[in-house]
Amino acid sequence: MKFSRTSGLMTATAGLALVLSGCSAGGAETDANGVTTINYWSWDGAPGEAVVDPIIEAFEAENPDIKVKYTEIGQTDFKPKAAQSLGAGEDIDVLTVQPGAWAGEVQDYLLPVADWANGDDLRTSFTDTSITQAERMFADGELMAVPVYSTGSAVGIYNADILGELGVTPPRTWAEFKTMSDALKAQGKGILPVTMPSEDWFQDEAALTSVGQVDPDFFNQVRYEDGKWDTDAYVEGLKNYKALFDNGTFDTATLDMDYGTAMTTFDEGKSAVAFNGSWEAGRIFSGNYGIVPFPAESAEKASLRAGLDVMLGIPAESTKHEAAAKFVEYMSVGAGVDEWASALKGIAAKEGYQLPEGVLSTDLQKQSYQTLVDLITEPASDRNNLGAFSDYVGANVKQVLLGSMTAEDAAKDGQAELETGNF
Amino acid sequence: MSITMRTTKKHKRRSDWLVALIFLSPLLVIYAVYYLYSIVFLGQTSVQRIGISLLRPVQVGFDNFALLFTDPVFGRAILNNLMYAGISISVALTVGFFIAVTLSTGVRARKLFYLVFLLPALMPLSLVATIFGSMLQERFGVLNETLRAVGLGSLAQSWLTTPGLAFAAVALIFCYLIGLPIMYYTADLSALPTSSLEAALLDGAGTFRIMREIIYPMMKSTHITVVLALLLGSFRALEQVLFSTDGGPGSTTEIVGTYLYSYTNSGGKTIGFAAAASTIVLVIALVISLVQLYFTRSRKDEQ
Repeated sequence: MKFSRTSGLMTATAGLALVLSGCSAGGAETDANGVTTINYWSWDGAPGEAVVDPIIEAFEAENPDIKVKYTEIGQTDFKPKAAQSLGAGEDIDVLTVQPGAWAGEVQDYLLPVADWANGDDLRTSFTDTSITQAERMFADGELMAVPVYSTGSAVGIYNADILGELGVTPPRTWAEFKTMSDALKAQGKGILPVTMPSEDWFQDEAALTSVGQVDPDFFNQVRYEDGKWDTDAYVEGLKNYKALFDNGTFDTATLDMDYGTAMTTFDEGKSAVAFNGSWEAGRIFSGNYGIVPFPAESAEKASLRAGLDVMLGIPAESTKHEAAAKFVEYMSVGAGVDEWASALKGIAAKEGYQLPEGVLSTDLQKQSYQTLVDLITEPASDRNNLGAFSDYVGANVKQVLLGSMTAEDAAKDGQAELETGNF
Repeated sequence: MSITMRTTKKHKRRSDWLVALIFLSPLLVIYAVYYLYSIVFLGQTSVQRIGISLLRPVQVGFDNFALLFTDPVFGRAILNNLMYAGISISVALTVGFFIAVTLSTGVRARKLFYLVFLLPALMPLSLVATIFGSMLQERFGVLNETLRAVGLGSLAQSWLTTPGLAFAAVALIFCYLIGLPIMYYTADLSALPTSSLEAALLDGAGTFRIMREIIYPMMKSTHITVVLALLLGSFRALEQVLFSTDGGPGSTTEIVGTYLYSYTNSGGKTIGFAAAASTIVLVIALVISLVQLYFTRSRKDEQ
């Protein structure tokens, strides 16, 4: 194939034009019509595309000079992808910051909230507790992202129809759960008493919920005060959790179900209760479902770990800080809150926030929401997880439940892993 | 030889080198960027305490390696890799070889059979492993449901949470991907000299004897390729385990791929640790490759 000098020149000119137009599109603050496009990155459950899209639509209608381009990444891949993209100088203007170790990991890429155009006003719009929790996420205690909402784990979503058929009340204690499980067995329809994700991280969540009933301060001690993992409280809590499987209250069949399968099984009416995080609470709108805490020895001891689940930050490299700050304000304390709060994605960090009238239409929904608020606003300890450590100790929890490891050995092994300093 | 001729030869050699260098340079640049840089980066990161953002590194010397050598899960992961490789190699060298030879004899519906055996190797591994995992679930998995439906409910097991069974299930997935070895054998069978086979037939040797004593030894080089491909491939494996057992129960089915993935995907300062583990795996793969070079060289010497 031969190229003439003219065609070569034309190709080179077209290539150059493409490169230049590509560069200009990425870096320009506003287009010819004066519209600023901001890039907003989040993971699939925070609060998820179905909830985000109407918020963006409403925000754009209110702010015609700003356009929001949303990028959603799967939850499991979000941490490495977002961190590497920030490092590579990707054009991100609003970033959902996952609380926990990751927040500290990316803090150097974020613009301090105090430097945002609306930073000072925004700060006073949240509850003191959520601001304190947000500050705790960052190494030097400086607020680098604003809190949006809190969630808790683990809680149960129960199928009121199944329970009604059995003639049992929503179970809150070990004894009540056992009664429900026995009734299900006697019924003989093959309905499982409980399903929950078998993933290691969730088994750690479930075990820590049980441990929190023995020593509410256990996790905070480990997380913030260099406390030990191999305490008597941890061993006792883990044994209590195992006892639920040993005496037939829970069925070990749930221990090979992944997140999706566990929830689908519940949705299909094949289990009476699904344990998960409160981020799944929106399910109460999809059926005759209610919410119960993780079972405890007595109803008063029921608790969970809770904390910020979603924060919003602005990368320091962004050239559209003002537009980005406007959008963050809309999402965290503005009209956007109603959208995700009404889907029960979390308990708003906004000071004095109340759900809009009519969101909760039945008594069961109202009761369930109140249970959720009570649990999350008075948690046993923070849900400020330690990434891979949660997976590691969660794998041990499963071994304990399946009888191939003792609770004492699991506690010691967790302590040894903690001492490696990797977390 | 005159001085002029020697000088001309020297010049020719130099210009040959230059031409070779020009042709190789794009590849060398790619190699330098994607391999050398990666290896240097890996080595550098493996002596640091650092997270996924790659900011604020803390030099920790060989602490990460020391931790790895005392971590029983890492040892278990390497051992599992070798065991899964061993099992899949055994199956490839026997069942795979047998299938390839049988199909090359011109059996009916040969193309359909090729498709049946090759398809699993061409499908996304994540899909294959997810389907296996779902089929083996205790309560609603197809296997146990079928057993219960035909009155064999007592045989239904907790396939994914009983250590021995979970290990066997993952081994089965590795063996299920037998298509590539079959392809290697099929390709080399077509190049096999037919004279030896004809002679064996004339001497009255049976099919299995020809297969065992004539074809099998003649395909030594293919066996070596299959062994090394599966052995090295096992260290790159991830999806087979991640989407079926996720390394569990405990660390029963943990392999190097899932071990590394769990640390690279964490939000904490675990990237240096994962880099150290990768470096060790790289050294193991290098040793295996050197063994491959050794075997390939001795075969050439024999020729």
